Amino acid sequence: MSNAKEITILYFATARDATKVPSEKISLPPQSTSMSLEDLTNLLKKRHEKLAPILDNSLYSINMEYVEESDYQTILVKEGDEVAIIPPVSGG
Amino acid sequence: MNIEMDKSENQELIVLVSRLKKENEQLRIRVKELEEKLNNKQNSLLNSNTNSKLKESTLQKTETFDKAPPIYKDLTLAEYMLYGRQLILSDFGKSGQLKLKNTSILIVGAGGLGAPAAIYLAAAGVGKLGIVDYDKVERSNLHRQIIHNELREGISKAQSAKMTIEELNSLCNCVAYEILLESSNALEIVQKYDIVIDATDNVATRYLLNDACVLSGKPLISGGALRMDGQLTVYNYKRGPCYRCLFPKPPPPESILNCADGGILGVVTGVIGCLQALQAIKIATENDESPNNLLIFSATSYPLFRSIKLRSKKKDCALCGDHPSITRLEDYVQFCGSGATDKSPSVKALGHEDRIEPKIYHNLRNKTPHVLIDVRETVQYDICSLPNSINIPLKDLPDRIGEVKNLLETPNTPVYVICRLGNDSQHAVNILKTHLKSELKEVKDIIGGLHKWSIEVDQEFPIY
Repeated sequence: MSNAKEITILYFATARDATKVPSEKISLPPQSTSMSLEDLTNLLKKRHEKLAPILDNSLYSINMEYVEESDYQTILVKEGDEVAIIPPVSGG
Repeated sequence: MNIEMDKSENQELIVLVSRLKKENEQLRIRVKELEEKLNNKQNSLLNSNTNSKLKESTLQKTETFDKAPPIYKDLTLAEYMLYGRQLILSDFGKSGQLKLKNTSILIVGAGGLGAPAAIYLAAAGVGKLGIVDYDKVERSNLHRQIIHNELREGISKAQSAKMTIEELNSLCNCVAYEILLESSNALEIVQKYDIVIDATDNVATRYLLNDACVLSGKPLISGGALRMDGQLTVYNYKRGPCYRCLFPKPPPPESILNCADGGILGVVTGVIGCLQALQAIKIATENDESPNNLLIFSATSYPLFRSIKLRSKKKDCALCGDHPSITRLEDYVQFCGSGATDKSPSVKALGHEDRIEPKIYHNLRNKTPHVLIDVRETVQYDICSLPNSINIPLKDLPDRIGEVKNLLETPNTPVYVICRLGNDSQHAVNILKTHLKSELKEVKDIIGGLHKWSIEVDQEFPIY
């Protein structure tokens, strides 16, 4: 029941293998209501060592909408947002 | 024990030969029946129609006329009967069926995705179906590649798929390409079809197909599956993105898992392959209103499906953007740093002095005190393992060096490392050598792993 403002991260395929969880909640830094996708990426890389190389080749979506890589610095993830990390699945 | 093994193997071969003989016999009878029927028909035609020679020659002409397939304006009586249950659908109808009949679809890969896709598309009445696969049917394919069967082991997958399709729906014109799709042949083949289905199992061919489809203006229905997960996207369609828009650079080769190493639940490829067939039907019948999206399937999650809304194609995409830098096919094996197959490459990370043959290890196994470490994942270790082996998965090895150290009775105790195929065990030897330089006198990997052990030492040991 913390008052921290949270976002939800969903991990798919190899991202889920690396983190060993299908999803998790991340608290936004104190006093802030959002963070850039780039800052979030750096935070996740520190949090999960094995996730780092996977993130470089994964897609991101915020609330089920795809985000282009060129927007990672400017786009803000806000409280309550759901960020999905989607690595390519190439087997068949 | 070996004699008994030989006996049971003999028994198996005898059963297989007799099954194939029976099938062959049935086929011979059927061929004879059909030939007789054909003869009778031709004779009666000859007797009743004096213009028959003329007709025969025009018939031959249309058959060899390959480049521009005829545009069918109507269904035959046989087709009304065959497709009745879908003809009565208001969202499909006769116009949908006719469009399918006039559509050609290329399926690249007759594996876990291609098998169900090909079966459903042939059954639904697609006019022409091309199937590309250079591989041969193996026993370990059959849990998911349901277009093949036990009797087809060792046969070309493309041919096996064609056989199944012809038995299922003889009206479907199926073309088998027993080739490896490459930069030199991809465009020529892709250009002959209206829609392309990516049912491949490797990254290099995915980029190749994507580029070939963008360069020749064909929609690409791309599916992927591994373990319990799958994805479906349509590329190069309705101004949507291409594969390169979403994944401009290939993943590092060492991060890619194939079905042989990562595992795959058969029905997961089935789900995605069926969705690819559905998507192809929707595109062929011009019945697709959905926006560009990436569908994610995860068998172990709730909800099972999630749909990510995509944007239109990227303006700066190197292939489909406003100023493309890629204008012809490239070398994709080089671009991806990995081959155009999903076979696990054989690793040679160690010199001869750091390796031991399974037979030699077998001889010293009961005589010399030693430590045997099995570096497979625990789920694999639980399938089968050698007595007295200790399971430390490769990825955990650096963190569990202390455990190995404690296992050594004396500094001279030799350590042997085994895995499934003899690749990971070599990496493990290198890790052990780095961390336990002074403690270890001898550390070797068992060449070829448990696979070779099973072939050369203990044929009762399961190969999986």
